[in-house]
Amino acid sequence: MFFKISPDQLRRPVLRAILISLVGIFPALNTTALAQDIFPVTDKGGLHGAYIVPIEDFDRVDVQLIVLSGAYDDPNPSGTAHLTEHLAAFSADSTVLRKARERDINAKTFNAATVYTNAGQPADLEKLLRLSRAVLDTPKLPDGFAQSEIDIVERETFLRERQYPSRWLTRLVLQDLYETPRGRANNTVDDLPNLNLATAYQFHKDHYVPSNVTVIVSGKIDRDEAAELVTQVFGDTARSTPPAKPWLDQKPLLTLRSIKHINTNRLPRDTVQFAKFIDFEDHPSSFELQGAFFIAVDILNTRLENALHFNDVRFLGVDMDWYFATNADLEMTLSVELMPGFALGEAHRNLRTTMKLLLREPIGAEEIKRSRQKAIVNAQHASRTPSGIHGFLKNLAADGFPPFSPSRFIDLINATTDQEVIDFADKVMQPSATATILAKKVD
Amino acid sequence: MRSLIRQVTAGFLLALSLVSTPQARAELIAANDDTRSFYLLPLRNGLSALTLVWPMQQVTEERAHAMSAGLLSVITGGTSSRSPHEIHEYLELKGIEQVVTSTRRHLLLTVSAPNEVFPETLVHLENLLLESTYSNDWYQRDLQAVRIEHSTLTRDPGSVLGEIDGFLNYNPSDASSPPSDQTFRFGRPSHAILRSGDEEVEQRVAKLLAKLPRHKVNVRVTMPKWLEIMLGRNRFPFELPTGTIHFQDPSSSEMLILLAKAQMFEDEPQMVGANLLVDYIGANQDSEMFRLLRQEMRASYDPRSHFVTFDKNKAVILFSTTVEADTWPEIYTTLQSIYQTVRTGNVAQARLEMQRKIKLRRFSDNFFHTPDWGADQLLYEYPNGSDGDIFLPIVDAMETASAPDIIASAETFLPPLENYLLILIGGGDAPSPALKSNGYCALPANTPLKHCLEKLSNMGN
Repeated sequence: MFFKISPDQLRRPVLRAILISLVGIFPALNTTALAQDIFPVTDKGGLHGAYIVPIEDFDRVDVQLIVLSGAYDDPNPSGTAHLTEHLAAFSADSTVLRKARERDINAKTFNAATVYTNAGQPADLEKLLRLSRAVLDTPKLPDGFAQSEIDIVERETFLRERQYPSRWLTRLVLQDLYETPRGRANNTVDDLPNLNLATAYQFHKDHYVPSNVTVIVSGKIDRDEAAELVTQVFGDTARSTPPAKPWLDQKPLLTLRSIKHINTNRLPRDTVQFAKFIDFEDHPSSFELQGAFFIAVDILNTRLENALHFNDVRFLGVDMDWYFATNADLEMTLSVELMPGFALGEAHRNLRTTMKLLLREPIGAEEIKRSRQKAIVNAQHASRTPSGIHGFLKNLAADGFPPFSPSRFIDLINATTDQEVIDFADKVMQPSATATILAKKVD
Repeated sequence: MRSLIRQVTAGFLLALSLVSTPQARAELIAANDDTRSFYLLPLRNGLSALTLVWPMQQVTEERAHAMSAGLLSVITGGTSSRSPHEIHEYLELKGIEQVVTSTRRHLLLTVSAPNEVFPETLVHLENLLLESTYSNDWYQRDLQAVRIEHSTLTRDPGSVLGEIDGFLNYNPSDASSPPSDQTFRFGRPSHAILRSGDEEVEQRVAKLLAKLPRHKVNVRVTMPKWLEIMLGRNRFPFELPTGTIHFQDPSSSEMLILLAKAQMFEDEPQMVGANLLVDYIGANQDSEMFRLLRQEMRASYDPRSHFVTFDKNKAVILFSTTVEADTWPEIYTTLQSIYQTVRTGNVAQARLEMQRKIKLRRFSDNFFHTPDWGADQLLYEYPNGSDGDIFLPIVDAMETASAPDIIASAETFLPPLENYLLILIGGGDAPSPALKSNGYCALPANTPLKHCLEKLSNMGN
């Protein structure tokens, strides 16, 4: 059926009808906030950090408990931090005897941290804090349940390997870069048969200690009431010695230029995987460099995308990742998938030339201005959703630094000078340790 | 009888395609009539959004991929005034997002941006649609990006769903695959869905739509209603075959078990009832699949259900779990038992009510924060537009759903187990003769699921 309606004819009734259909059910909350203040909790017991972030725009509250240890802290075998995350989450949630919850606990193991998020209604804050606190208790699970959780971790690891074959390739290139399967690299799949509860419980004992934990409460909360509840729940925790971080001393040889060729049926296309390590040896901490890091990395990413995607259609996709450790060690990984017919060798030569000439054209003020603006727009976008705000709060806090909200991040970006950005980018592109894998797809 | 109808329809479609797409190059995708405009409530996250919808009916999967890649190329591949890189930079500097999606009947472009830059976003969009200059190499790359990997490679329920989507939504492939040097232009859309609330923006959208070209030759094919209904039903019967599809990989230590059913419902309350029961079976950590398969049997990391809406009162129901290869027959038996138990009404009322609350909250989040979700719901309900009030009955049905009533009707809301298709991908024993008795297809390596879906469908006919 064909018909014609002018916009003005349609607008009013439609607005009214949708009002009846949806607004009557869902109360209005406009989420256009721009500023998120962060308040440290003074009486936080032995915790490394505790922060309150009032956000009026979302009718919910989130408690992030951040253990400042993750996959990089794995002992032998790799995967121990991940197994510990499962055990602590289920124990804290009493999952075997669980009651129905509208929002499940969310737990994830990152490189340098493990993050547990409990979310709920603002009135549930004390319960959410107590669930978070229970993560620090020695896991108590029924006989056989903990042991069989190793099988579950094995299933999950295999699932991720299939879903994201790039994980496997990244693992290989990092093993080449660091010349070890431990620490900043890992050996997760090969180590699965060696996962065991004794090592996991020891990991929990060493790493799930108050001085290695930061708590962030964000959402529709009263600042003082939330701080008081944090003190009630965590105030009795005692300060302790944080665990050692041997992976922070793990630095590849400056002269390393590893190149490896492999054939595989695990990838959809021929792929070049690259990794580079940069040691900011003059800086004991990455905190003061964060603003320069975010802006400079955007400039470098933009130039790489321009060369490897926009100006050369033989590269299907370019995927870059940067990790700036707390001690100012920077790790870059880059993966490019190739269109059919584009030879791996030629693609590798193009990549090397691109990297070599990336800063031949000096970084200009206008370019820095654009990247600064993109960082600000990105922060504003993140502030529109609870998950976006969580991501910001977690990002620096996971390295043991005070958390940054999107609005604080914008202040940081605006305070960074052009020269700091230029110096950072220059340092990144100086010759340093690299590893490359040329992966050819075979059936 | 069904196969005859299929042949008749295919011939008709080919004729229509020849009439409406006279050029192999620079093909214009556009509606014949005026665009039907919808002005929905503004989003609640400081963004405005416009969804443009072009018809995409009765096409092959290859053709659908070509059209999607063409639209991607139009919005990313450069214009007379901006290079692809400059477009990318512009989007990042302004916080603009462009999303291309498709349903069985439509190709959709949703553009969203902060309220304060939305007027200039519309100028940018106009430039993309009218001044696009993408190259064939650019298009070829986008075509690679939209193609779906075989499920046997990823062994992921999402990939299986993608292949099922292709089978249910598109015509069987034919010899007339799209030319490799295809170029598309996108003109007047059939629908425009605006989420703004700003009258100035509404006027700008109207001006934009007026500038977009229609077909030079206005082709209108009409047919008797009874024939349209018959052809539509048989062209897209929204049916998956029953039986078992098996891809055997002796080298794998795992097996993906997946049950699938394309289900039509009488009305929204019935669809909501089925959705909540399916969620109760496997949607989250409070579900039966999680409780039994993961927490009690310790058999799987990812047991879960999926209820995917395809159209008004049409959804695909999936239950999936990946288990150790040797144990799959036992786990499959348990999965059947879980389903049968829920279908007979053995359901905890409070936990079902919890699933309703979760789903209702998700409806709200989606509607007010994800503009393409709202556009999909609107198109399901009003595919041909509306000159009256707009209601989304699925939301009302979810709000008023009663757990006791759903439990009492569980046997009606959930289809019988024997009507499901079983898909097995991985290692372990081959299916028993009993599992093969309702239809069986061994999937060869490097082969899409469609091979077996068509084979089993033909056996059923």
